[in-house]
Amino acid sequence: MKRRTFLQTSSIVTLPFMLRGMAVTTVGKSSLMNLISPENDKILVLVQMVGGNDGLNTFIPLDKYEQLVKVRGDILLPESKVLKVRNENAFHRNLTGFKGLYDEGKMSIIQSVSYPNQNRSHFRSTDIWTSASDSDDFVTSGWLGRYFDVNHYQFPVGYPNAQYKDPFAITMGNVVSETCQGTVSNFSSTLNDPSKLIQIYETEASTSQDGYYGDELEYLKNSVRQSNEYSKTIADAFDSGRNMASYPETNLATQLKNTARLISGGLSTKIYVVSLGGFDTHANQTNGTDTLTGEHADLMQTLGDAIAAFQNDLKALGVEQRVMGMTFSEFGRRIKANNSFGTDHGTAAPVFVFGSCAKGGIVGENPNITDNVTDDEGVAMQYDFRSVYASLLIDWFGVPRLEVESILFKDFQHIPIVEGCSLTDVEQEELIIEAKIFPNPAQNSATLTFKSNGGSVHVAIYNVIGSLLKTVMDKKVSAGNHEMSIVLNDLPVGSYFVRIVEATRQKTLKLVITK
Amino acid sequence: MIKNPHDFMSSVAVPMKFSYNQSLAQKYTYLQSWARYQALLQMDSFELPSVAGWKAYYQTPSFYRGWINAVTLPARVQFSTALLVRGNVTGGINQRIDVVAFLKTLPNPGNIDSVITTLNDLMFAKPFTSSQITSMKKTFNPGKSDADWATEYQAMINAPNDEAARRNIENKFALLLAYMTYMPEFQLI
Repeated sequence: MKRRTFLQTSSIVTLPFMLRGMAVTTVGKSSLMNLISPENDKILVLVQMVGGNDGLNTFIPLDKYEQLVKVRGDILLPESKVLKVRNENAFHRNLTGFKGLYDEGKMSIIQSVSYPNQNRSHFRSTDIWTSASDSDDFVTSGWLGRYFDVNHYQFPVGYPNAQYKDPFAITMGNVVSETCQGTVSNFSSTLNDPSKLIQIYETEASTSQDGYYGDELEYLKNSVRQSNEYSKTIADAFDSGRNMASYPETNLATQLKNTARLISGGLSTKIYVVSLGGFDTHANQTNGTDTLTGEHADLMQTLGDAIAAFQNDLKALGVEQRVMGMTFSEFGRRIKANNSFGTDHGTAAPVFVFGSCAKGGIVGENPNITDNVTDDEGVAMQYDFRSVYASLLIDWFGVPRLEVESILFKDFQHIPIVEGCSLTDVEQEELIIEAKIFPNPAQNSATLTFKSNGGSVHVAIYNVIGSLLKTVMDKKVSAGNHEMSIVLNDLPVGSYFVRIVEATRQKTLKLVITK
Repeated sequence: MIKNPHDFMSSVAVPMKFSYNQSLAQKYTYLQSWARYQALLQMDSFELPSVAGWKAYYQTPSFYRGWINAVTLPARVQFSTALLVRGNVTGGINQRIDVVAFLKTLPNPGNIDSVITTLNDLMFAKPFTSSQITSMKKTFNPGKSDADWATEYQAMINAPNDEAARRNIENKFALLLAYMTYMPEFQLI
């Protein structure tokens, strides 16, 4: 079989890898590109909550309310005023928008999302969330940038073109999102006000130049051309699109309103990034002891109302099944409140996935909050944020699992958050693994028991600020009950978390060591 | 290296000798409009986006390419267009670079090739190509020759009170300068 014929007939699954391995010249402008995806018209909207959201006041674990009163009574909402969704959970009072989506089954809440060794620096942690790297690894491309890189590694040279007329991604605002940073260039186009786009006069080009000067000049030339061409398609989509729901008068709502209008106008952009700042609530998170108002309460109102309006609009426009949204923030905040009616940088926080194709419901258990919370203790991680990314790439964009591994550098636990419109068949999956640890408090060792379905089991110990201290097990086991002893005499007295993961199931247990 | 917003704005205003002669209150109003432009170009004065500063100074791998995107690039064009061609109207005052005064400071203003070369040296890192110069001439002085420029310039000098002659040179020269600021090369230092 000729190489070309082979490529044309081989499955889409292997194609991107073949393309990457081939010399550029052999790709040419063949029909290869036609085989790759565009029929997947799914769109992902990322809502970045800049500053580190206080998850414990966003989605409140009511079963831990007593403990929370003790450590964050200053800022905790009264139990009678929160929006209960189950006996054990409640949204912030101002998240009526989220409550509505949850009740309609259009919101999945993934509890305690973070990564091992949470860095707790805004910048580094934002880099980690946008690049999907390990906390000790420095990766300069973004996770969605790598997703686009697979098929469009030459970007921005030659884009837009007849087949890809529209930007791959749009960041609402003046700064491109690092999530869309590819190895060469950022795949996202910034957009402020789609009603006021202008064309840049294109001047006569000089001959190509060598060196850094030449590189930067090429970048600028491309930017001018691209800005002009994308402006046209964006303006066209904006003109032919419309909104069918009313939105609140906030910046976030406007960003989402424009997003909905561009989608309804037929823009084929796959990723939109919108953002809301102000989550770094070290002080005045609440209005003094009036915990129902304050900065965080305002943010919750803005967030919930904007997203609910967006979802209403998408439904009215008839594009609801094409759009999925996801919130993210660089870290959660500490369990204990500080003395300024605020909270400091913490570890994990819930991620909200919304859309009519979201599975709905709550994934994971409520955060483990005990009576002896230390000052710097954060909510322990249950799910790695890259599991959320991986699950969206697989179930929403239909990216083959192997390719997801190459985009995210390794295999991550699959979380069932997409349902109905999913491209892959999602089986009903168990989410929680049965596990116990005793004695607790323990001294030199403890015993962990768990019931395996058979497969790889990973057990690791974290400290209260989310640092991975040691992996105590990482191997395949047979189905059935297992018991293992964990040596603890190398760890000082204190509180720890033991996290056990097997395929889609996991559990995070708190362990106290005494001597 | 790509100019940061402040560099960019200064590189239009300073070499072309932008000046304003106003009351202190008007100056404040006016400079506020500049601050707003700089903010739009993503370098809000005294308002760092984070404690780490501006992304262009630390964010790998794009670094100062981060100043340039589909919002800021058109905004740069709008800024130089306002200053050179349209005028920047703020607080009821229309400020525009006095391009004729600037032209007169150049060594040989009646010779368009000399003017272009001088501007090239003044504002750009590398020489223009001949096709770029041809394109500039076609754009700012369509259908006219180099000799026509010399004649029209001399006509303005000979008749200091002839408003039409002055405006003719002003409009053309403003277009030439605007063309140069639109060049991707102008974004580089």
